[in-house]
Amino acid sequence: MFDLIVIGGGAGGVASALRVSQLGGKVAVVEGRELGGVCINRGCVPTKFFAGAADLLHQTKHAERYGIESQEAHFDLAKLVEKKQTLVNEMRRGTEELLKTRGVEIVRGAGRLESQQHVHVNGRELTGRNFLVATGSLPSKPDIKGAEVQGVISSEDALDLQDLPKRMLILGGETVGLELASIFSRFGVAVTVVEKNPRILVNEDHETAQRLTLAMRRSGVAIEVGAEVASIRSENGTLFVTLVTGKGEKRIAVDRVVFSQRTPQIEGLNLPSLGIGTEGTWIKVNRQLRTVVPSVYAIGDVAGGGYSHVASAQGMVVADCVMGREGVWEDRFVPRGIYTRPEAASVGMTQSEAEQKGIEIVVGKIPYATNARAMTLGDTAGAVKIIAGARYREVLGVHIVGPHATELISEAALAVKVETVLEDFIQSIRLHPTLSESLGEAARDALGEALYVPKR
Amino acid sequence: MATAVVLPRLGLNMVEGTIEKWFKKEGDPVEKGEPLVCIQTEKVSYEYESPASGVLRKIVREVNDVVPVSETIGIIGSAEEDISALLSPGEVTPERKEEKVMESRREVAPSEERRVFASPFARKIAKESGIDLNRITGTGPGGRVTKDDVLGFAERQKGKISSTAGETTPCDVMEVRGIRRVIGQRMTESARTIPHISLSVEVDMSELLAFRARILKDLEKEKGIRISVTEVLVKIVSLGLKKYPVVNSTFEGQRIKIFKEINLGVAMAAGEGLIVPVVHKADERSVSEISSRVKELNQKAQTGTLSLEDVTGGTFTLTNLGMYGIDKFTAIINPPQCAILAVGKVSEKPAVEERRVVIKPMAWLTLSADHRILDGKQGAEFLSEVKRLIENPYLALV
Repeated sequence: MFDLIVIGGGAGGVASALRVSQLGGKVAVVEGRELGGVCINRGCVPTKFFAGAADLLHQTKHAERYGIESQEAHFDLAKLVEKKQTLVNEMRRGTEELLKTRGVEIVRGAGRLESQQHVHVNGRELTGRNFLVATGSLPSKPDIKGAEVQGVISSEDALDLQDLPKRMLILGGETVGLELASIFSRFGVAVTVVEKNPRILVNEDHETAQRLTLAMRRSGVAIEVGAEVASIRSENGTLFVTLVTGKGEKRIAVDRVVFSQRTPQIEGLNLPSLGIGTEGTWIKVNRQLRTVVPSVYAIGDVAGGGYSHVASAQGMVVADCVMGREGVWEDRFVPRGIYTRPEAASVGMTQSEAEQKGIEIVVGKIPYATNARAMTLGDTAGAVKIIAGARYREVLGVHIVGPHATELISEAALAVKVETVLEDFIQSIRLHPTLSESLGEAARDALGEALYVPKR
Repeated sequence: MATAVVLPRLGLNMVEGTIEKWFKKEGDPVEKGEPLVCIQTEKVSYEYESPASGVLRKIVREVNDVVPVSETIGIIGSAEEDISALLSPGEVTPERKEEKVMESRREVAPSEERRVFASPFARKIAKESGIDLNRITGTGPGGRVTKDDVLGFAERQKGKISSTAGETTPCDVMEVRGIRRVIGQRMTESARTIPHISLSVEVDMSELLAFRARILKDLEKEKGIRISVTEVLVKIVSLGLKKYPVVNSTFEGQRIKIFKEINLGVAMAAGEGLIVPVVHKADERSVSEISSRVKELNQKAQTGTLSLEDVTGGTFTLTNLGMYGIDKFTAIINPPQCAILAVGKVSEKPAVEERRVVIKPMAWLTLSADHRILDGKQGAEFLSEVKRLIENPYLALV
């Protein structure tokens, strides 16, 4: 009898299994594909490897800034894909080893829940006290006329391309689509992003969306917002895409169309017969991440997570619940990040969210153009924005666009978690020169006391 | 020079006490060593003696006030002396020596000033609303006081009862304080933090009842003691613990401590609650010694005169609800102990003996144990030993 049987060996399932085992529980991970899930195999890790290549390519192109003269770099996508695969394989093996050293049983095959206590895997029946559905998500082809033609690929397929297309159209102006757009654009591809909403990153602060749109457009990425693809037609290897925008129809010729949309992977789990329903396409869970069946939990993409770190943090909560500790999922502490150029990251409330909730707020904003470290990096696109309560100055949200935003946001995530106030941000001393100094300065700006900006 | 009388720490785990009675009024002369104030702790009422001679100039905390340890409750000085310095908050330097831990049975931790951990946001709200953070129980990591804790406290202070039933349904309200509050806190902590395992066994009481009947008259005549079943069980259980010492232990995170002494707590009803006085070294005492000790403790419990010594140092608890007609029940472990044995009533029942149904006096024993220390096997071994001794009580003599 297992304390927990995890269905799906991705970031969330692995984290939960390791933690249950650490707490003394008996745990198995059922995985039908590769361990490591989308994150290691077809998501976070490969895209960040690609982003690393894109950054370096960008740096070499701008090396003159530091007086470095070099010949133009030659970039070979097939080689990058090969090296990416080596890294992925290594990390996958590492995950497997880690699970084994922690005594987690790995069961190969697709899991099917037979009852509140049994799961079937390849004809074998496993008995458990608890189950964790952590099966993640799959790319989902949009329902568009012509979507089936050759050359229309998923964001996962894009990471295994052998030749660089000249022109690429990306469907979806959210994290996945924008990261690919930024990467392939730096690889030299002419990229167009098509987003049906009036702006990219609809759930982020409006200024983050504005700044990123501006910066990406400046670097050569075309961004079509409020636009939908009506049809795709293939002719001699070229894809003709018809867009419907607010200003009428528009035709774009590209070599590849990449769709970034994903859908939860719940087929074959036998959830409906256990009475486990969905909310939209996601499995519905409560604050303990339990489904309506108390012994069955669900985390990550399959429950609407959307990020690898959400899945792994949720995995910890489930491990606590399973092992008799108190565990409650708090999504307000989840940082969000996107590895474009410039990067963007945030935690907590956006300005409009706070305003909609009727919270009286103060807002501080500092552009990186005033930051010494950003200047030495030659990378001043972006800004730091802080939102705090007007009365007690508690930090409600932090939004960063600019270099290393995905690293910088951790300070803010901690600040929100421990309920800091603006004065803590101001009084906390930072190294000089660093990008993080702008966090302190933004906090001062929220109080109307920014120092290193011209007097208004 | 005037002396601030602070609430003494009367036990290792004591964090607060209730002022039950002042023996002196403001302005009364008082001698050092004279009873000054009666303080009710989670365990006992304690007459606290005056730390200084002079006049009781000021009673700072009134009867029924719940006061944190080492907070000033009164001031003793000469009749004319200016005591304003001692009265202004923040400048009181209580005599730390009064704070020494008076409980001696266990290792004494150095007394330390309580540092309140609170989030910056929580501190700000508390400061603005004039709420003392010391009075709030934090729910954050490491007991840190969070925004929600302060807001929740403020809400309760307004006298609002958060449960919807309380707002709409008419009801009588009982303040939860004193021993009721302590029982509540300790049982919640136990039920929440200790993984309880419970094992039950039905025992044949024939021999034990016969044994008691055999010695009852003589003991009553010789020593004036009327021995009870519970008292014999105290002896038997302590012998069981001696054989399986791991049951007589406590869980301390990284370590399990096995107690060298077998000090059996015997749960008894007293006043508005429950108290568990202790028969120390029960295994070394004879049945008649145990009997007179239990009777003495019961007497003290009913009159509220139990001393600290009487209620501390227990290593295992025995609880019997047989007299209330309960057949069988599962008790919550009395922390920091490892286990508690719940005894049900003795009832005449059909039992099978050598393939025949016979009527026998039977009783249910249920052991609740800390699963972090004991597994079912060890609990079963202990329980079997207790059953064996009950069914053959003469073994307790050898």
